[in-house]
Amino acid sequence: MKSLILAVWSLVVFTGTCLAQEHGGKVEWIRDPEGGFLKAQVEQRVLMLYFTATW
Amino acid sequence: MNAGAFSDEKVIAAVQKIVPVLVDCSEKGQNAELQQRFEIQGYPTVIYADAEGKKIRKMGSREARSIVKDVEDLAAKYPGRPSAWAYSFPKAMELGKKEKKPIALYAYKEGIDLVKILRSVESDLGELKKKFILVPVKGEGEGSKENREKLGIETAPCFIVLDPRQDKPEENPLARIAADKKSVTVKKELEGALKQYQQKE
Repeated sequence: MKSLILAVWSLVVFTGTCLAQEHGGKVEWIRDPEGGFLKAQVEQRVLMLYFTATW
Repeated sequence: MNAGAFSDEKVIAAVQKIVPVLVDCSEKGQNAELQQRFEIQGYPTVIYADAEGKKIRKMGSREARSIVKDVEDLAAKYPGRPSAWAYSFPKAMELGKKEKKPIALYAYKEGIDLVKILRSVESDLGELKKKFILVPVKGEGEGSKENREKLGIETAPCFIVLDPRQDKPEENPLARIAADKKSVTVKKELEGALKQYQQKE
């Protein structure tokens, strides 16, 4: 029983971590690429482009 | 990808020195041009690009410490300059409510050197720019139809001043100001709109 609970808990934590990672964690992402590229150009900053998909 | 790297405090702090863009590819064909341009073959993939959008390299190690070093090195090489512009209407609304400032949408024409124009507008406004949340929107040309209808844009360039405290601020703008006039005139009209906003507090 204990090992079953541990297995389920591990699955929940793993899934949660993966989902958080899939959605880019806690970084405040710009979700409009056009706006992001414009911001980078005006401010002359490097872009970090995180290509992701959620299915 | 190392689970949690983008939730690491040091990564979050470092990334504020660059421009982090999430490119959602969930729907078929979504952001296809960008995927092709950067030769994306799987997800997630992280690419660093310069200010002109040219690829620098793909992210290597996904460990938080390595990401922080990458970002710090790139930010040191490309330190950037501050800017008064918000880059999306939703973000402008969020900032307007938080900072208790009206939104000044700058509707621009297609085919201009937008970067040069935005810097010029910022310079012309001087200190007045700090009293608004500035955001550029396409006001003429391809892809501007929705903006023109929603915001009632007749000609560009123009400023449309909105009150973010309203539910649908675009339906009742504080001011519409043609921007192809002398900057002193434009500033005066923006100051008038600012007074209207402040009187409603």
